[in-house]
Amino acid sequence: MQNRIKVLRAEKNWSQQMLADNIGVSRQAVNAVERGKHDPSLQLAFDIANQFNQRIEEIFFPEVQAITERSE
Amino acid sequence: MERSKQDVLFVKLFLTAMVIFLILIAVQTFTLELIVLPIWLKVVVTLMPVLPLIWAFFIFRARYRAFDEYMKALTGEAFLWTLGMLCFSSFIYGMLAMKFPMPPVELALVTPIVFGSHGLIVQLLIWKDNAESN
Repeated sequence: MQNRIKVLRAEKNWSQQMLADNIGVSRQAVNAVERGKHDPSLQLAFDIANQFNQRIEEIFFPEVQAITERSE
Repeated sequence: MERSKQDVLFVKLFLTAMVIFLILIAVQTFTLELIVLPIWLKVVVTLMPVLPLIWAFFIFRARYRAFDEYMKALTGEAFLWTLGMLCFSSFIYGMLAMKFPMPPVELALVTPIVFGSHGLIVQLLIWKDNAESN
């Protein structure tokens, strides 16, 4: 699953550790989700989305959608 | 903050269990060497060091339950590696032992090796994660 976490973090000038502390997970978890290595649970996705005041679908999108958007 | 408090508590409890383990090993060794005991008491004294290891297991289980979902997955993968290495090494040893004379293996070393290997593999997986993100 693709996501915009890195971009949103950069906009807020947050490190991975800061985001991890805010949502109560390890930095490794944020790192893995950000790189698309780990698909977050619905709860974690909600927690991340809440941090950026956005909806889940504005941050996460499936691989197919990501490929389509990139090719456009 | 809450997370680091949990980490500190885990380290304190785990180290306490390990210190008790070492003390009981010493008590076991000296007691069996120096005091004449009935068989049942010898068995009790011999098995005493197992208790802090069981406690350590429950301490680790509590820590595992407090992990976030990714650390649980990572820890699970490390257990899979540990289990795989243990199974294959014992299978290889067993196969060789059926056909060739093999040196005896100290079974009491299996638990500390499994604990140690698991911790090492978790750290390697975290290190690999960090390396990939840089």
